[in-house]
Order: sequence, then C-alpha cells, then structure tokens
Amino acid sequence: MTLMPPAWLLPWSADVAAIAWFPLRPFERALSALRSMLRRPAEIDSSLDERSQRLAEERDHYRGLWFGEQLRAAELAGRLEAVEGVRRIDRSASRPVSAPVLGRSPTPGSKTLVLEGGTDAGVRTGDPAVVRGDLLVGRIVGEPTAQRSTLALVTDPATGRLDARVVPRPRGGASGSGGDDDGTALVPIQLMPHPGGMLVGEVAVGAGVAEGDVVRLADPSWKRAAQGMQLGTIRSLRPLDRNPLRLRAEIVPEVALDRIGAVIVKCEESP
Amino acid sequence: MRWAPFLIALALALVMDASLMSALELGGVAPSLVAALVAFVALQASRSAAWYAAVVAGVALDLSSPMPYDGRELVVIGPWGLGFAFGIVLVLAVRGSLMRRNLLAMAIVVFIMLMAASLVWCAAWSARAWLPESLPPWGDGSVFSAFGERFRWALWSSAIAVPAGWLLLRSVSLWGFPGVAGRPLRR
Repeated sequence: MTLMPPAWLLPWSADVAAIAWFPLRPFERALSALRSMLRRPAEIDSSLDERSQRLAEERDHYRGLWFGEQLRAAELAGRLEAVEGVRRIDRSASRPVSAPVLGRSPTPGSKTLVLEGGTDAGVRTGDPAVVRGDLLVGRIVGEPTAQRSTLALVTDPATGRLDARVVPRPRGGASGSGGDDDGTALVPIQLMPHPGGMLVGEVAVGAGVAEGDVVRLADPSWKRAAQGMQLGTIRSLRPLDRNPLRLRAEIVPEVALDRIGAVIVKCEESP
Repeated sequence: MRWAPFLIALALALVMDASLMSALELGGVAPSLVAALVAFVALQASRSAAWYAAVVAGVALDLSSPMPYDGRELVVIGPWGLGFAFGIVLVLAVRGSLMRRNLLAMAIVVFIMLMAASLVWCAAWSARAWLPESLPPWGDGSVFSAFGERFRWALWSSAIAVPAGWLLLRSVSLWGFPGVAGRPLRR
C-alpha cells in the first residue's frame, strides 16, 4: 500500500481514516478547549483588548474585500477590452462561519487542520478560511462531513503554485494602504509553499517591491471569497544567483498558521 | 499482553497528540505520546506483542496524517507502519541491555524508535516520489530538512516520554505483561 499511486488510494483511503477516527472525534473538542487554555492561539493579538480586536478584524475584513474587488475590476477591464459584450457578472456572496480547530496531524510537518464545522454549517470543498479579518489560512479539502472538515494550510507543499499580487507600500512618506489608488501598481508574483512554513517567489529588480510589502491572493483556481485576502508580508528580498535581475522573495504569514485556535470559513452562497 | 488496555491507551494518545500536544510545541514540533506508549510496550511486552503493537500504532499514525491532493484528502497507509515495525526491531535488539522500568531507558527507546521510523518514513516517501503525480510531504524542499524536523520531534518526544513513562509504569499491573504481578508498582 505504501507504494500505491495516488489514483488508487484516493477513492477509499480517506474513508478508512474517517471511520477509524470516528469514535475519537467527541474527545477532540474537550482537548482542543484545554489546549486553548494552556496556550493562547496564534490569531489572538495580545496587545489589543477584545473590542479593539473585533474592530481591527472588521477593518481587515473590508480591506480584504476591497482588494478582491480591485482585482475583479482589473480582470473585468481586461475582458471588456477583449470582447464586445459582457456576461452577467457572478456576484456570489460569502457567509462567514466560525470554526474552532479541533486537531491536527500528530506527526510533524503536516499542514492540515481538522475543523469543527461541516456541511450542516454550509462548509464546502474549496471554501477559504481566514483569521483576523483577511489573513488567508487555507482552504477546505476532501469531503466535509456534517460536523467536521479538513483545512489545508496555504503553506502546505501540496497546495501547489499560488498566483498573487504584491501591494507596494507608498514610498516617500505618503500614507495609505497601497495599491492602484495610491499611484502604485500591484506587482504579480507566483508563489510556492516552502517546507519552512513560508511562501517563496520571484520578482524583477526595479518592480517597486520592498521588504515589508503585503502580498495578496489573486488566483483564479481559488474561490472568489479568497481573492484579495492577505497571504503574508515579504520578509526578505535577495538577488538570485542564477539571474541577478530577479529577486527571491520570502513571504511569511503574519500569524503562525499551525498554532491557530479558530478560523472563519468563508462559505460561498449561490447568487 | 492484554490488548484492550493497549487499544484504549493508543486511542487516548492519538487524540491527545492531535488535539492537546500542540500546546507543548517547541521549534515547530509537538511531542508524541504514541511513541511513548509504544516504547513502554516495547520494554515490557513479549517480542511478538511489542512488534504487533508498534505496527498498529504506526498504521494509526498513517491514518491520522492526511495530506491534501488535488482538492481531496490522500491518506497513505504504510510509511509510519513500516517505520515503527523497523524501529521496534532495533529496540528489541537492544532492550536486553536496558533496565525495563527505568524512565531514562524509556526516553532512549523513544529516540531510537522514532529516528529509525523517520528514516523508513523518508525512504518510503522518497520512493513514492518516483510515482507519477505523487508529491512527497516536503514538496520542493529537501528530504534532509524533513529528516531534521523529525530529529527534533524525536528529541522532544523522548523528553516527554519521561513523565508519560512514569504514568504508564503506575498502571503496569493492568497490562498483563509477562512476569509482572497483578498489583501496582510501589516506589
């Protein structure tokens, strides 16, 4: 079985695991609550009180939506140039569902979390999950059950390539959150998850990208609710040995994704 | 060895590893109670019982380690099962020279077993990487960095094996190990 190809394992192996774990699920809830008491979850900012934290979350949520709409507007402008007519715009909305993290794999290196929240709450495969309003954690994989679902983190190597945009901070002392309205263009970047829990990509020298800039998802293979959500900030930019005109960017999420206590799943609803 | 206490303890250790032990995460790795349980059985049980217990625990770890694959969940049964089977053979080879009820011996056994199991796990996933459309858990990274992570895991788990082993030794009379009287250990 160890050397079976994925295509042979996929139809049944996850079901076997789900059956084996079924009797143990009720104990996870109590133990995960105990874990949260022992160690503060990573998404809780200890420098803010509860009210300020909610306000910051709300601000980040709408900032994420604003970036998502900005990307959508750019995409539509491109389409308008290419075709004469415009199809009816898909305006599907997302509904937030709070989902505590019940568990994770007991072996090191695994980047999946078990969430309390399944099809009963409207969670579906591919739904993105965020914390602090707009920090993208990952997306739902596999078939969610009525009460449980599995979340694959964005830093999981199996997630594959991610298309994203760097939002350069306004230079020269101007304030603002960056982006087109500040006169700075979003810089496209393709990212790959790195086993060290970060994302790496390449940008051209002189693209206007600097350390500390925020990177946001703009990947059509993810659901609309995930577009514009924050992947992390650029920790380092170093010239590539093989091509000095390009820089290797290391992007780190703002919170330790594998120490999160609860996420908000953005469940997509039909229009 | 009685199997009912082992299976109950294994289920408890698995749930605690998945839900609680991440509170003790250090350097990106959380310690394993399953390894402590297998080490305890390896030191006390007969050779065949210890081997079967290790394989069952390894397969249970495989079943609790899904990885995303093309939007679905992929569970590969075998890498940890084989790893624990190999690890326990090494442990059984050296257990004659260890004091079976010594907590330090528990820690040493956990370290030996997890390192041996990690070696097999890395080898199994490296072999799987030759299959079409099969990506190892370390992605584009190096197998050595994955092994290094498991080295830290083995170290941390062996440290946790000392208090876990102390608790398990309190219950030694329940397990029906050969040569153990049916009453609790007194210290």
